[in-house]
Amino acid sequence: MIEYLDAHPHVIVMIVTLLIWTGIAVYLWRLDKRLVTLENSTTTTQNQGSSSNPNDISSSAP
Amino acid sequence: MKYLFYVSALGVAIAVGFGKGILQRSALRAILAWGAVAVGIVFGLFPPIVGTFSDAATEAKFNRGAAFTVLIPVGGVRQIDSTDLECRDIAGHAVICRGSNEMIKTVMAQSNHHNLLLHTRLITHSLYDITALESAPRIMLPHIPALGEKARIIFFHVPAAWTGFFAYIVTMLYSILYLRRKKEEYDIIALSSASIGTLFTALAYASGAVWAKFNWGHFFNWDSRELSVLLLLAIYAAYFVLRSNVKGDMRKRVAATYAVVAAVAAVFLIFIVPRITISLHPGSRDDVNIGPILSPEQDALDLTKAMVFSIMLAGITLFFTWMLNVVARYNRYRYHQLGSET
Repeated sequence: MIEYLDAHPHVIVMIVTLLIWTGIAVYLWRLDKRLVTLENSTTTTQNQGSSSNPNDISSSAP
Repeated sequence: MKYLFYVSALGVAIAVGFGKGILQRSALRAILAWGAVAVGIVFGLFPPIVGTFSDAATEAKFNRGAAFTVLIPVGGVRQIDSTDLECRDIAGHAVICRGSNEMIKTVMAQSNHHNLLLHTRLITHSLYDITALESAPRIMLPHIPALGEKARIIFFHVPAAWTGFFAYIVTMLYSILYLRRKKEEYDIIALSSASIGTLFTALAYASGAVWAKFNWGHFFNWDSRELSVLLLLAIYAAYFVLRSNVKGDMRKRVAATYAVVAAVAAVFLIFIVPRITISLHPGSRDDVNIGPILSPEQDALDLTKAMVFSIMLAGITLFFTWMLNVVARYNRYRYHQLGSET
């Protein structure tokens, strides 16, 4: 295995690049899910009548 | 044919990316983005780059003594004596290949059943030293003169540059929509697109600088395209400065107007300036070819290269739409809930 990687350095580059892009994709996916939670909690708060105006910052709870 | 691949890939990416509405979540968009980029990385970086003996001879002028991989078809070798072979490459060009007695026996044993890759080193114009041997895989990438292994960066540098430009065009379109309809969401999408566009332009700039270091000798070469893209980054940096310094209702209108004018400058700086000036980049005024991606020359029409490039183009465009979706939704949340001015 080590001999193969030594003779084919572009395979190491491929593995590292794949890991970096997979990391970015996982990060983006988790961010997306957290944002959904945030959006849902906001919708629930608004439905409970905490604020009728979404631009009213004085009454909105972040 | 290859232009059809590029246009179809972009068409699919734009349809999937924007089809459901850019502020709507889409699992398909995310899966296709990661899938296409992963496939592009594997097929862009794993297959060997192979050429012909003519390529090897040309390459040896730039990089004397370096090994070069040549594709030999089934039955493309004939034994001359215990240490010499007549090797015929895929283009039919024959030279003498010299190796150890053991190596010659191995090549002969395999050549009647498999296409072979011979790693060779040029000794004289018609005499090559065999340094290694392996069976040819099904997928191989073509050799691009003077680029060699460095050609693989094309699959990242060009799609990143394209995505940066595409993001600025998206910024312009949503800015026009904002100016016409005055909907907050259009302004938020325009701002998010400009920020991601700047990220991708910076990535294209960084990858280009590394490539330039190894191909042209320096990270920055005062090349007209390098300068025009630097100017483009400065123009979009000014967009963010403008947004943060104009207060009240004027902010969005001024920013949207600026984004429309900046997009005109982007077209001029990316497509016109590098073509009317002398540049190290392909496609400049003094250049006879327009580069391995766009060139209609026969040797630039390799199907594998065109397909891998198209997949990567679609993948990175989809990644941009996914990032735009997340960033724009976050900016919308911030605007509506936290009251932060975008």
